[in-house]
Amino acid sequence: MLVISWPNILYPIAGTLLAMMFSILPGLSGLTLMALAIPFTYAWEPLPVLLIFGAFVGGATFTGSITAILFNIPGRNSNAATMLDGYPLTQQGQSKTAIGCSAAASALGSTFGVIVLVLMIPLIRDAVLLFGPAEFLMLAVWGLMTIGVLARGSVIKGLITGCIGLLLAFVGFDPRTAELRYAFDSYYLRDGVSPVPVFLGIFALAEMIHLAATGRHTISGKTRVGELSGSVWQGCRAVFDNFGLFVRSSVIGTLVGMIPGIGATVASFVAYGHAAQSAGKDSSKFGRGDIRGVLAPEAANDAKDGGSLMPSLAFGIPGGAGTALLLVVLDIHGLAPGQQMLGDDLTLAFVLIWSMFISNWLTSLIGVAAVNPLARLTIMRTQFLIPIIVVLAILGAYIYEGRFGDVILAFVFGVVGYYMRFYGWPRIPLVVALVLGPLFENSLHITLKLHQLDRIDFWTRPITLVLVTLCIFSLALPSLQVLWSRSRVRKSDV
Amino acid sequence: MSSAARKTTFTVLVFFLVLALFVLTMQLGHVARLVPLKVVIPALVLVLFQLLLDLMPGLARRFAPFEQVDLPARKDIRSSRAASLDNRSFPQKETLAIFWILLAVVLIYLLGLLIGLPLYLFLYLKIPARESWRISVSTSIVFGGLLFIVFRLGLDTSLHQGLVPPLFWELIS
Repeated sequence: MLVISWPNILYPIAGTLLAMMFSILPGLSGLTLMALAIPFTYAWEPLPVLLIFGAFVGGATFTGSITAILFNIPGRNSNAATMLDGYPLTQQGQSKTAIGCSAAASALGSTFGVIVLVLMIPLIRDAVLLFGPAEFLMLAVWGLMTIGVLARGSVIKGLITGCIGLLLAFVGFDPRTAELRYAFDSYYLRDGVSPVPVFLGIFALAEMIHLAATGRHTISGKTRVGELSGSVWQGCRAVFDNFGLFVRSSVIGTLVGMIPGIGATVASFVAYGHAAQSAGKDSSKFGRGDIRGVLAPEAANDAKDGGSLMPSLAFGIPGGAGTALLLVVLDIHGLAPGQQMLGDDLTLAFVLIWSMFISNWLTSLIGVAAVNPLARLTIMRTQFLIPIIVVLAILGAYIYEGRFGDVILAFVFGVVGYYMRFYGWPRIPLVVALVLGPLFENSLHITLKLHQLDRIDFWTRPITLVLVTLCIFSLALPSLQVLWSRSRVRKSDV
Repeated sequence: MSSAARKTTFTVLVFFLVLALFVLTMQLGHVARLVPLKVVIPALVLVLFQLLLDLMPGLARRFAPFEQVDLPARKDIRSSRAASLDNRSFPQKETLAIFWILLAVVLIYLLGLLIGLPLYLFLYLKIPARESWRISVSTSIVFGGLLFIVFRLGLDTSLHQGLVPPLFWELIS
């Protein structure tokens, strides 16, 4: 009641609109908005602060999906998985279906995450403490195993680009010895390769080169709104038609969100990989406009919000960058996570949770309401859209960290990404590996050191063993499915 | 150059990239190269194998069962790619598209974001897009204005100034 009463309800609404406006621009995100808003809210009371920051956390995710679906530009790293099938749907004139599905999956996924969060508050402590370096390592490996699924058409090329992505992640200082790796004495490369300019180049700029080179008249291939097929309600219905997949993806998002430091990108890619695998024989459309390829990462991406609040509220351990900033805000206003937050200030904890929940639903409803104007963008002449998107991508690359080097990096990866697309080399494994590389290397080092010191026995940790099994299953299942189906075809021919 | 030759050339480029990364990795200290070596050696083996597959189509067909796309679908991908490569204007359009994005980068480097981006927008809309003067100029001005208001005034973000404007202001002052 505190959240929806007047005038408190104005804060989540304002926060949602601000977060949506910010995250529609590539390179900017809800994170930037939260950082900028901190000094403006110093003198506020805790209640309105939690209302508005909860909305910032919840409001930014979905908007990044809109640009991913319409223009192949992921608003954040975690929206890249939505792009894999969202943009092909747009190219087929079904942008409304993709946006409708994304909106429904986002809203319902966040509902799932919030429900789990509320139910698990009494159990949080024991759950989070079970995860150590070995579990983080296997989670990173599981995320990397999705390369085997995502590299449809060529597993070998996918593994090569995945390895190149990992090597890119190692650019900069070695975490143990501080030795410079692959930096060529460049000040720019000392800080490592940032994922955002790589994403903007390898997807957005590469796609613009492709559109210009092929001379495609419009993104959707249609010239009138009436020619666009699909509808918002078709997209929303897809969530209920694939309800089992939605629930599983939300579980993946919530569980991954609970684990500190993992982030939304792992959740969305693991959910996407799971969706492709679980489709079995019916998985040929993945990567070419399968609505399930939009549903799964979107559900996971928003369910993760609820999950990531768990370690933050319970222990002050941030689930990701957004919750890290949130903890700063709580600290400024004298709110301490842990016993205080879950005891004396439990009301305020729920204010934060429900504000985030309302914001997720608001963004989805606004997105659905705006779907017709947004769909019109897909029938605009590409020659008019191309320079605008190039400009937005370049601006996004620069604004991210204020370095001109990021613009050059985006251009280089734009050209590389175009030729990778042209010659059938999968791009997704490269970016997945780039994002997971630091987590993988740090966890590997710590785990090996603990193992050397006999402080950890890898093979007696149940969660680790479960994750190892999942990894082997992820890698082997696609090949086994293909061999099984081919042997069945041969038997039926005989 | 035929499509198969171009495809193989790309694989050769990837091979040299991975080989260069291998050489650089070997130059690192023992601890620093521990994990990168475990990644670059399999990458080198895999890219050599891929090069063999590209050079020997018979070998590629033997490994088709492990590929995850049905063979008829791969034919469609190959034929559409070949068709676009046979179109003589396609490589020219490709080069031109890359040139225009490079131009944007150069304009930003020389003139800064506030001048370079709107100028690029104007030039692209006027020349390859063949829009009218009104649309080209108005779009560039609106975009430049929004850039200034949102980032410079609103967010107080420091935007890349370029090489030429600071020299110009110095000359004037």
